[in-house]
Amino acid sequence: MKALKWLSVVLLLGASLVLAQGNLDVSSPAISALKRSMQERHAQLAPLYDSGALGQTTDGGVAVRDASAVPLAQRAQATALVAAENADRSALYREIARANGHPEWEADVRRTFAGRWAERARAGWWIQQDGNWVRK
Amino acid sequence: MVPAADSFSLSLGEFSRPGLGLAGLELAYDVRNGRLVARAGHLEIAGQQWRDVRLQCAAASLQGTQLKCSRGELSFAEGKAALAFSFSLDLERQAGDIEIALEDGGHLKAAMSSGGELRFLLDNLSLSKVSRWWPALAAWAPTGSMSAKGVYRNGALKAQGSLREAGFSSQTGLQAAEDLELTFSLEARPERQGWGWTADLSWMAGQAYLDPFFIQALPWSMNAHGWLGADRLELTEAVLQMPGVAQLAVSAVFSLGGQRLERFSFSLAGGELAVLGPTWIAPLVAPANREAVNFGGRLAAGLEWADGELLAADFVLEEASFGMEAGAGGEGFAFGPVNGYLPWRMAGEASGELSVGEGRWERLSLGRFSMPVEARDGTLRLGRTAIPLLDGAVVFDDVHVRRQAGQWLGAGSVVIEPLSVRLLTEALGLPLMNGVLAASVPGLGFRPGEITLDGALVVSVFDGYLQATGLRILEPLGASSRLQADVELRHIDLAQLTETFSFGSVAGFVDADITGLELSRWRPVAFDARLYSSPGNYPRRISQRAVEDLAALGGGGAVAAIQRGLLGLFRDFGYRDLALGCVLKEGVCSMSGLSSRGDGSFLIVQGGGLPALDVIGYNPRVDWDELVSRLQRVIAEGASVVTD
Repeated sequence: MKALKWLSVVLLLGASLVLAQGNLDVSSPAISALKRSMQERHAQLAPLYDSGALGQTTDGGVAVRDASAVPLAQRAQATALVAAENADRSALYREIARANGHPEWEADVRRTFAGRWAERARAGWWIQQDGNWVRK
Repeated sequence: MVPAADSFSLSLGEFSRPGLGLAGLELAYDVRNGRLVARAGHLEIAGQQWRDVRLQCAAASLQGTQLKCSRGELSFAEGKAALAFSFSLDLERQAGDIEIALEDGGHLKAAMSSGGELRFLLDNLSLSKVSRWWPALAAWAPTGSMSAKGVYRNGALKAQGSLREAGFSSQTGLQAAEDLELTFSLEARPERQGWGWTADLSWMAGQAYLDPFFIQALPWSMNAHGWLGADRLELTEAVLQMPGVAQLAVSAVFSLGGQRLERFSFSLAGGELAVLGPTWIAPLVAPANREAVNFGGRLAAGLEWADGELLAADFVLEEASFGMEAGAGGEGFAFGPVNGYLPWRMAGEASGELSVGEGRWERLSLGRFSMPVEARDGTLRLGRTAIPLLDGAVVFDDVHVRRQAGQWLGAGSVVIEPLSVRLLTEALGLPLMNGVLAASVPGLGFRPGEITLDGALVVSVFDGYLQATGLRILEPLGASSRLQADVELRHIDLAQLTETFSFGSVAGFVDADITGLELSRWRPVAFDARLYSSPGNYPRRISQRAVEDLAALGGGGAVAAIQRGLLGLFRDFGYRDLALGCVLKEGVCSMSGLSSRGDGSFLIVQGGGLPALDVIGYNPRVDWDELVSRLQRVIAEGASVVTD
């Protein structure tokens, strides 16, 4: 039983070391294309972050928090932007995992990026924490 | 007769009617101080519950059998509503009237006759004020006002009314409406320990966003009937009249306790896709480009949904057409007329067939084709479908898709029956080439973010052939969409190739191996390629123009200086061998040739015969975009020529 416990510790440590070796800033043409696409969209998303309509989610995505500030006829456009951004972010996490040679790391990359988005959010933007929205 | 006393109290226990429950009912009247308090420990209306409900009357009087009250306040554990109300009640005849003035100017009048009939009039009730004491409504932030009148007689209720400038919004704003103008009429009577009801609703003005649909009143009207129980609202059938629809019927079951939709189904007949498509289909299939999608023809449909899962769906298309205009990320596409039946079953089976009159995908025209479809236990299977393309066809066989753990997965096979490369290049606006393209992919598979093609694409061109294997399309619908493949070319006739692309003239044959080829938006972003002279005996000549073009590609100085003088003297030269390699990575092409010369330069063409000259590359690292623009400039200098 004790041996099993030690084995688990060693395996977990090993897994941490493997993840620690991953390069989140790895570059590839696909990653560059995704970053370019997200940068182009950011100009449209920033006012929605500023108004509190959108926020950064705990799973590394974007979600509609309170769209009431967006005119009714334009809400579809806002949700389409959210869908496109989330598709790009998901693809980005997959690509970074692929570029590291470990597609199975996707979930870890996603988690790490969720923290990055939260860190980089401007003051006044909304971030999801433990299922609740918190204003930075 | 009521006995005279200083005070009295009544304990009424429980009162229950379908959709209505009262428990712990108490009435206390302090005659000396004129205070009347009615209390219910628990009140439940249509699944909504309140605790410790108190109606307090500060000025009550009892004269004979007449109980009168004014200046009252309603409070409950969840909140408080200030009401100025007065009532007069004949306790002997069990008749009376009540009038409540609401704080925003609206008022309610009700009169009860001794026969048990209750008439009421509700005028200009503020919905935002109602939400203060109706918690379930508060979550939807209602606005606007409601007026209604009705009668409750012999256990049955009849009411009619209207909503003016009404609206609502969920917390996220993804379900919201504004400026609603509605009229309604309602009848309800006890049935199966609940209320059976019928209702008519007309929506004359306003707009709603029910994610992802933006809907405007065109106007709409609805006749519905159903049943209301203690914690369940059933919509047995609602028939809707709206523009673009001959007939639309909906049924649903909503859990009042759980606040969720349990079941939903609809059937649609005679739907005009030009009217329905932009509102109901485009947001689902092209949310970012909904204005670019166009629809035509007619649709009949049925759908059954329960507990978050689509159980069955049926679509019948009649002279339908679908298309996306050019510009939204490509040249667009169009299909139609489409006729036939498309089913889906989570359990059980059904089969149908769609026939497509013609189609266009990007610049390619597709001929008439039929697609047999079989739905069985959550899997959709397409039978053999041959889509005519130019003088050949793309044939899909046994393609089946299924939804698993919230993701669509699929597999099947695809064959491209031989088609003319000349017609293909003509259609795509590329330099004209002759040859035949064919493909056999017995292992077609797709899952989120990836399409794999286990097989080979073969193009016979320039007297040789190109074979692509290991085909994989990653992120097919995303910004990082790309194609991966390993490609081999064998025995490509350089004379035809260079003539087609106006790249001087080179006689001979080459083979090439390209591994790890990755195309993003049809532009190469990575590969390891090596092109070299095919083995065998054949004439090997390179023209002066081809040498100059090669030199231009290399940025000048690509011919051995000692031989430069020969260029102006002869039209062409002999060569023994040629080879060119390029490893493309991160926008840079690392070049190589037949051999490395030690100083970083490399031999591309080794001269042979008379006259002969070597072509040497001096720059082993070239920016790929620069190389491509040089190649385009070189090609642009001459018109394209058709090869024989």
